[in-house]
Amino acid sequence: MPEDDVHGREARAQSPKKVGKRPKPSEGYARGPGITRRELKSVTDLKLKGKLRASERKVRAAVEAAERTELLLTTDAGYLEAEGPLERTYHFRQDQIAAAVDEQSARKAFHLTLDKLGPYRHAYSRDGQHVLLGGRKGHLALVEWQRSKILAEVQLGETVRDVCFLHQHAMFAVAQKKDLCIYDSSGIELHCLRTHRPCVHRLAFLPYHYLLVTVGETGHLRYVDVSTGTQVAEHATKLGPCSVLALNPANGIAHLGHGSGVVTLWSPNLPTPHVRMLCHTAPLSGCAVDLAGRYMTTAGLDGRVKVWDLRTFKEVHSYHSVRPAHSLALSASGVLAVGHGPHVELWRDALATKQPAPYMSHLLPASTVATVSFCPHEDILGVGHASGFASLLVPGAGEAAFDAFEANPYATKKQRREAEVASLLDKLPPDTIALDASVVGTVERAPAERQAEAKAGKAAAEAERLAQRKERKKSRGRSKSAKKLARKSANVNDERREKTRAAMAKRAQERERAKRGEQPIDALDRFAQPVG
Amino acid sequence: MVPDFDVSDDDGDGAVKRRRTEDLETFEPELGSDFEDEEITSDEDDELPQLPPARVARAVLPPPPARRAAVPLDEDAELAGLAMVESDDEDELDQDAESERERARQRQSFVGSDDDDDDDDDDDDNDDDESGADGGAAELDERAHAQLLGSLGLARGRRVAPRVRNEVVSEGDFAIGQRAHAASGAAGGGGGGGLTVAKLLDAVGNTAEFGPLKSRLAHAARASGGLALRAPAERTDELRSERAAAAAVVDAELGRWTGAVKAFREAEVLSFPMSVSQPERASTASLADKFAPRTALETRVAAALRDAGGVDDERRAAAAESTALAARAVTPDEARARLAELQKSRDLLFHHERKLKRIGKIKSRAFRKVRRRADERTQLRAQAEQLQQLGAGADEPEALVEARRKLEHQRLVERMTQKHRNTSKWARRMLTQRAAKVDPTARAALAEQLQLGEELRRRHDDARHGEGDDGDGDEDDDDGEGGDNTDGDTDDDDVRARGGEREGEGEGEGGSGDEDVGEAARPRKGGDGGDADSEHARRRARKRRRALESAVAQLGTVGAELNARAVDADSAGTGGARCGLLALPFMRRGIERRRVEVESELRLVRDELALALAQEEDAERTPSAAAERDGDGDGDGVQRARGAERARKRAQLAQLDADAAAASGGGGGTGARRAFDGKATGARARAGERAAVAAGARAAGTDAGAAGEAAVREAAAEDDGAWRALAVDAPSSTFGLFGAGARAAVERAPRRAVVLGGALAVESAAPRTSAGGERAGKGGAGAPPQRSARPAGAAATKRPRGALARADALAADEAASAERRAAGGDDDGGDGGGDDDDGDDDADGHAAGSAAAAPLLSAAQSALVELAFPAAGLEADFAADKAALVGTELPSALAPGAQAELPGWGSWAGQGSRPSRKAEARKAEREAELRAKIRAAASKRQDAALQHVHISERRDKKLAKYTLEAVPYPFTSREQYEQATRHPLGKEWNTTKSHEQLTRKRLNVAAGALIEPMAQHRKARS
Repeated sequence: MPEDDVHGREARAQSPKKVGKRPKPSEGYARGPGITRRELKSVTDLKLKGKLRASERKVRAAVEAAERTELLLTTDAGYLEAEGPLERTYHFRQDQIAAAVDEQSARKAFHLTLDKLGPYRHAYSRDGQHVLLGGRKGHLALVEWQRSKILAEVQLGETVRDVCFLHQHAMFAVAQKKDLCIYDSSGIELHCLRTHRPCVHRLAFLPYHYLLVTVGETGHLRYVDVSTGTQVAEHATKLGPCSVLALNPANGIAHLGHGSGVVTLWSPNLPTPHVRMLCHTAPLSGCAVDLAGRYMTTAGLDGRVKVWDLRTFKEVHSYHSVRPAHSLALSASGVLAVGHGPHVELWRDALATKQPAPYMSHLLPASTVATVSFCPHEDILGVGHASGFASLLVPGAGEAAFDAFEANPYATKKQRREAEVASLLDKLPPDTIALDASVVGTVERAPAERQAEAKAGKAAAEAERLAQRKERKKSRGRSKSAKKLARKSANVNDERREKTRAAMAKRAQERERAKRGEQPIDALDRFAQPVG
Repeated sequence: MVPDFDVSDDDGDGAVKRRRTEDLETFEPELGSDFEDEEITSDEDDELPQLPPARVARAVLPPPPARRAAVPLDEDAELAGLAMVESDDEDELDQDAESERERARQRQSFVGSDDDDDDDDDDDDNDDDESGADGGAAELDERAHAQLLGSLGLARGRRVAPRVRNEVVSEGDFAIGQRAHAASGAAGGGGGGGLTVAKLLDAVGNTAEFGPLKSRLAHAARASGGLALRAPAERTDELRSERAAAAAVVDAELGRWTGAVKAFREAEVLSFPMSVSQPERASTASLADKFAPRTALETRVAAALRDAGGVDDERRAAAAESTALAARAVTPDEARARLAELQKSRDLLFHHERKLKRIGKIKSRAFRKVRRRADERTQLRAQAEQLQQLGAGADEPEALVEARRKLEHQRLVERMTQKHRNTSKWARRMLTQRAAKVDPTARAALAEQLQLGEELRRRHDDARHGEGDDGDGDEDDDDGEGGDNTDGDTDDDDVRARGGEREGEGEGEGGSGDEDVGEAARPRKGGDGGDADSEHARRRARKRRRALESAVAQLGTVGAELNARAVDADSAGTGGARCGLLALPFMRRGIERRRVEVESELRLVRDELALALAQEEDAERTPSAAAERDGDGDGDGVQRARGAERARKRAQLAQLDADAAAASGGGGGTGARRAFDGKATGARARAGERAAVAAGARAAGTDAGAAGEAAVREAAAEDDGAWRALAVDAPSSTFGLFGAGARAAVERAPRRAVVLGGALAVESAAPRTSAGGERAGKGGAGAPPQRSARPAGAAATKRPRGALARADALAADEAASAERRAAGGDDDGGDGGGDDDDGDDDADGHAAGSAAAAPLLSAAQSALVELAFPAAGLEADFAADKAALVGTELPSALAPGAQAELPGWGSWAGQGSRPSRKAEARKAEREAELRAKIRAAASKRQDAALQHVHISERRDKKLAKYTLEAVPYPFTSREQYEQATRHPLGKEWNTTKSHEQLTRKRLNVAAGALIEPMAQHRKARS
């Protein structure tokens, strides 16, 4: 969400009075329902009530302010539209589209013929300025694609299985024949991680946690913290080799697709998956999660592409592909790209509702699609295929508004460096990855059993503390251990003490009488006549 | 600044009253306003340092306890003297006081030691001297002497026992009041009240020598108004009242800041110093005022301007404006007054509003009247109804007869007056006349009439509706049926089939297609004629059939259950262990009897159902024929759909047969055979039904071809799948077959591939060769039977009859649903579009194929397949995995073995010991309980309703450290806390301004600034 400090003047100029009615907090900015007036009424503590009321007012103002800034996002997403009932948007060819758009955009559609070392897998950097190409047969290239500038090109001479950028384009990871290697932007190998053998099939990176996620032949899911170089977690999926990995951008959960038709959802915290879903009755071949983390699309060898609602874990609907899809991608605006065989199909608004026909389609003759992925903040789909790399124009695919604090496409070198430091300082601990990340900072919803356990634990700790506490030395000479023990073990009142006490009292009484000069009391005294 | 401390002023009336009520506190106020502090200062008081008045008050007011305790009476006397006698004879008073003191000393001397005797003597001497003037000195002396002797034990003559007074209660803080009271009581002869001069004088005695003194004193007392000296208050009470008074004063003082403190506390942000004087900004006017021409040019310009006269005008105008503005400005007092005025008016408005509300709630007499009448009417009607129900017999109660008569009378009146219509003369006039529109009462009367009419009409309609023909009710039912889709499949397909019908009719009848939609709302038109009749008949038939079906279903389930029970009992009977409730002979007999009953009932219902079905078909045939007569081409499609439906119904009937057979399978081995037989019949029936469908399809011609093709496509797709699985996934293969991915894919795929291959081998390539509609049927059949065949097969091998019957039912169900969907697909084909939807189609085709194949595979065959490929079903695998995982995630109380009894507890343990029957029963009960608990726990899981999902319920300990264990103070509930903290405060999620607002510090202090003391509240200041 862009800030209003950049365009602060405009924001102020647009006063709420001019807008007219007070806008309702939209779903995008309001985080759940606030405290209602009735709820507030039931609060008896006046101080708390005042606090709650004030905070509620502030939050509402903040939400409204955030919503008002949307006025500043003047760019509208466009899309292809058919002119008549007989025209279909999926018949539009790339050259037709390129001819219709402005020259700058038209230049973004291109095709690289690299038919020797393919098929190619590719990845875009977070700011969308760089693309990394990895040919199966060892060709590695880092390209600043909008300027057609090659930053690094290496022939590794061994199999490249997957490529992935790290936090910035300055570093990237490559899953090679046996090992996982990390290179810098000039193509120099920085690290070689040999603990990922026998081989890594898929790579992904969690930018906020600085975690490189790998999964490979043995089905082990590994998390490597690239800022410290430590392996944070290693989970055995026990579901065989795995070559389908997708990250949920909303919560950082890793989605793995397995040969048994099951998709498992992982975090570094648990050695078992958070969720197991039987998605297909055939091995999984592709998986993608949308930006908001609401929908997951899966493709299986059963020739179906299914859409799942990750809030309910239910299937929303499914599509049929002529050949099983092998690569899926979801754009920021929710366009679904499906690569099957030589075809790339694009489906618009196809997640919540079932569409009868694709939005666009593209054929790569005599080739096979290996990867599809959308370029961030651009209406561009990158397609890595058997004989090269294609950059396709997909109107309406990208999110036009970028956040310069997140990933700035126009960042200078200095800005990039500072952003790196800032993001390292803001790095999230790996433990915060959870299915519902919003539980951080809330009260744990523990079942009764767990609560009882916690209570017992607390009591035990307290008892332990009391037991460990050193006894204070109360008086000198009385702290000999034997005496202490005797004192502790003896009763406070026992027979001996009683006797001693009685004897002492008697003696004291006699002494008193002797002092007064009285005769000791005799039993016969009671019969004596009173004097006078 | 310490305020003056003035008790009497501050306390006011209330305090005085309070003190009067509390007897013991009356001491001080009684002293009156002329009481002076200085006059009671004793030696000790003199020594007090100079304190501020408040503190002095506190220090002085409570007299030192020791002194009080020692000489209470002296002091009292002194005080009394001071209070009452001012200008009287000092001597007398002194004398009196002296005598009192002496008496006290005497008492002391009697109790205590002899040391005081000399002093006493002296005193006595003094007394003698003073009282000698009165002439009774000798007697007194003698008496004193006797006393002295007595006290020394040297008394002459008769020994007088010394008068000893025992102080049971020692003197102290708490005894003063008692003693003083006792003393005064004793002196005044129990007069009560306070200490008065009269009471004191009583003690002196009525002798002549004191006569003048007493009279003088009494006179003086009367002159001073007979004031009584009350007993002093208890010390604690005294202190308490003092504290209260002091607190009130301090409160009043501090209260002047309360408002300010509250405002501070409630302020969201406090920044110190509070009032920062903003540097005054220079306005253009002020700058212009200050301007003085300096340079030559400026002076020249100024002179020119002055000459032109513009400057002065402007200045004047500005001055006038500023004065006008100043006049318009509101002073703080005015603002306050205005505010007060506003408040007042708001209050008035509010009270007015409340009053109106209250008045609004009060119901008028007219309202009560109307209400009472309505009540009466309903009561009468209820009575009448009751009467009708009872039947008009001779023995009707008198009240009912009366009620009926009343009702009749009412009806007659209404009938005669025609009050419910607007046709009476009066009504017509009212309606036409303009005056009626203005006159509210007339309007109300008219409205009442209309209401009456409306009510009557409604009642009439109700009655007609109630006793009207079934058709009407049915109609409503049918129209509302889309919503209450209770029994899933059956209803669903009904709706669909009917949809088809409607379509046909719509076209057949020429554009009355929307008739069904609004039927309930609209009154039925007369023009429908025979069509409507037939429609009614059909609906009635359908309703009846549905009822019968549900009856059959219920009976079927009961029968199956009974059958299963019988089987259980049977197995228990034949097995070694002759135990269990079901094995008891009477139970078995009971079950058998019930089963026979159910069976016969089922047979009856079944026959009836068959009849109903036939009728329904007949009923349907007529309109369809009519539709055909109309010559519409779409009649075909309708007919076809109906054909399919009929076939389906027949299948259902056959299925019912099978069920019945299964249900009727008795004890012993015959049951199984009969179940199989039943199944076979079902299968046969189904085969016939398929043929019927195929025939229907063939009749439909091209559309059927399309449907067939869909099925074939599916079969091909299955083939493709097999091929696909055997070959490798596409990109891997293009990556080169040397790649590990390809190999992995081969390894991954084999299970399915082999299954597919096997199935294909078994059922071979029949679909491809045959053509048309047959292809459709068999193509489905040719597809591999994994899904349904496997469970059916498993059931066949593992479980005996009952289960088998159930499995068969399952398969049959699937078959039925497949058929239905095939029919649906058919329809789609008829529509001509829908090729985008082929995803759905092929799924359906698949289901159809597998389900249709199920009956063809014998149990033995499916068992064989199961044996050969044990892990065929991914779904089954997943379900098993899920069950296992759910087991591990149970709460620890339900974990296996958690509730097991310790060996040796409650029963004998050791080698050779047999567990007692009770222990066994206990164990069984416990296990059952545990199972129930586990089931309950499993049903509470998030994924309980999701077959294909397992959601882990393991606690994420690592994440737990970022959560709170309990709701933090001051929040009282989790929701409250989470709602209050739901919004992120960071820059990333807020605008800069909101971020600042959200993260603002509460207290800001400018460094080095002087912070003024807190100001009093506005009201306190004024």
